[in-house]
Amino acid sequence: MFSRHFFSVIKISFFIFVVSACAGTSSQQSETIKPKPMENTNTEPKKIKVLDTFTIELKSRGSLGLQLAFRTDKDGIVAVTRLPADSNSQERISPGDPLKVIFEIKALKPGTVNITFFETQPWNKDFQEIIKKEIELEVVE
Amino acid sequence: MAQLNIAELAKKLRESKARWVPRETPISLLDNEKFKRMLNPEPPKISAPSHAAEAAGPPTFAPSVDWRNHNGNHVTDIRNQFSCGSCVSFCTVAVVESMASIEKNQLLDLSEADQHFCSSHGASCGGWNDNDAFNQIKSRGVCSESSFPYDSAFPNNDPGYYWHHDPPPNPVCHVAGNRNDSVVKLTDIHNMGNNQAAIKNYLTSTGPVSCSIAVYDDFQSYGSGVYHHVSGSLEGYHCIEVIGYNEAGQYWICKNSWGTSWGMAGFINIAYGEIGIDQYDKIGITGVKLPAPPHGWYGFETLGGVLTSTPNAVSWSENRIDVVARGTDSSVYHKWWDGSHWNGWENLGGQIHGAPAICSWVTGRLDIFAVGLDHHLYHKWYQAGWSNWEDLGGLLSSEPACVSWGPNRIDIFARGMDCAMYHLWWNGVWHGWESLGGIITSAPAVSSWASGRLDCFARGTNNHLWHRWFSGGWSNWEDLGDNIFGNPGAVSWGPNRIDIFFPSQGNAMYHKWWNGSTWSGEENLGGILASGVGVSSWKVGRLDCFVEGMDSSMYHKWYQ
Repeated sequence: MFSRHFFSVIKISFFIFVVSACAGTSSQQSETIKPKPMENTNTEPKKIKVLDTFTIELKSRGSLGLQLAFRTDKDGIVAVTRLPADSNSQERISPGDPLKVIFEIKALKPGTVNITFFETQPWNKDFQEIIKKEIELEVVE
Repeated sequence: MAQLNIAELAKKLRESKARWVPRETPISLLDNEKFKRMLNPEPPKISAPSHAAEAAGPPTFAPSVDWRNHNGNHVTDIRNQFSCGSCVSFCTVAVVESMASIEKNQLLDLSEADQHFCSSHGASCGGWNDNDAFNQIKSRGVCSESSFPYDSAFPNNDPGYYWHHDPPPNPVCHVAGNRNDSVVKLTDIHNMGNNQAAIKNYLTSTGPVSCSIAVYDDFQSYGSGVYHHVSGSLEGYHCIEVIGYNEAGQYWICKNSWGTSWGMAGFINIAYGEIGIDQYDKIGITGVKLPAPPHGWYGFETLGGVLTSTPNAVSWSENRIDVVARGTDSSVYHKWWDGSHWNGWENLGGQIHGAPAICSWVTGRLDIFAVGLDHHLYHKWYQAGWSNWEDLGGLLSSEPACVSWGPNRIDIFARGMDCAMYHLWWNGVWHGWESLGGIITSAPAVSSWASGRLDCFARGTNNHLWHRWFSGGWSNWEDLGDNIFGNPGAVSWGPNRIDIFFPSQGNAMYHKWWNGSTWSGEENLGGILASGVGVSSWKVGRLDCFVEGMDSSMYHKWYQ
């Protein structure tokens, strides 16, 4: 009746609740050091098991000449995949509107990794990268 | 460790023998992971409403069109929308600017902020569609950039504010108080749908169009060449101005709104059929309506001809002027403004002394009076065609002046052989000549601001301007004081208003007016006149003056 993904989401949601209840202080400290990522909702997990997955949703602003991209500070710990747009969606998007984009993050092997989602204008060397979301993730057995 | 990789894109472009090259910059991030983004295999959905496309004519389009070089450059400078999703306002305003250049020969810089934040779209950076945007310009217009600069809509006057700040606060609509003085509107919207022949016909014959496209990652990296989608994910939908096409190269030529450092100085060539460009509606507009120019005097403009008299004028309706003058062969010549062009000179024959006079009692009716070589008054009229010249007798020593205060009424004034002013009138039959006395040293001028009201002006023996009026009975002569060097001209644009023009010091054109309670002083309007002044008015606040210049050409100066 329910897919495996559904249970993953339930599990992740519970984890988010536990983590976010404890994380307020350190988050405020980090704001004094660097700009607050634009879409950091702190709803993503901090720790997941190998082969578990979760998704995050961001807004892409292609009409502004922006590319939405990501980087990780270590290879092989997670696989980040941008999911194809939902071709069955009835949502109507106007030119200029942000586009909903979903990334799936799958844990591959134990370790700690930082994932940064950002926007940039690839043709514009002077453009200051926009940090959309930062995730520090611990993958466990 | 990152997914953005220009080098990888360049490799893919080489492998696919692409016709375009990306722009390499230091921001291209190094990474050994391949592009992981999935292509979006589905046609994008955008909210532009579908419309019945205008029918295509036969394919008569040119092999290539680029409105940057199509009877001149009709594409305005590249703009930058920065961090706001206002592309639809940029693309539609760009089309209107192009059409203003094509139709009106006016290079405009219009306000995308007024269009995006003050229209029915509302003050936000959300998307829109070009059909609704054009309809807003049709109904409410768009003002000049100087009335509402784009930067000023954003916090700190920074259009890049939303790069690092998610709204709120929203941008703000705050146009200048004089917005209406610069508002440009349009008359017709032409939706060609995705009919390629109709679009190319339109681009060949009429002008640029707007179009929506899908934006993929590799679009952002476009540097030059003919773009087609090779790699990367769908990032959103966008609106651009299509300014041409090239059949041999199979591409559209487009103007973007990301500044000049993107693409080919802000422009891009997009291959036919790519990124939805042949799928979405293309929309053009015609009938650009420019704002009325601010009140003031304009001219002198030269209207040519070789004149041997004062040119006299009348308007039978708004935007219509008829001017008559004597030519070098002593015949009467006619030139007229039909609302968009000057026509003539038309030879109306006759052999006359001095200047002909012209008046009109209804739209489509003209009455011309002139003094013949025998000093008789002659009459010729137009009503669906020109009459012959009619001899009305008299013995005159000056040019005539005439006016109509209503249908089937004409009043004519001229100087007699005794230097007094004489009056002849038509109210279905001719009456006169009536002597109105005085000793005048110029031809008279006459105006009427209402039925039953006449105001006559002439130079007296002291070279002053004199005035005598009829309002149920004739007044005495009144000395208005001003020194005049030649024949005056007079007109009334409405009740209790009279405007008089005459040559004075330095043979410049001078102006004096009655506002219902007092006479103005003299206003020097410049020029060097070789004649008196003919004047007409087609509406309240509009004056058209005509004079003969020192080169015998006709000159026009107008107030609006």
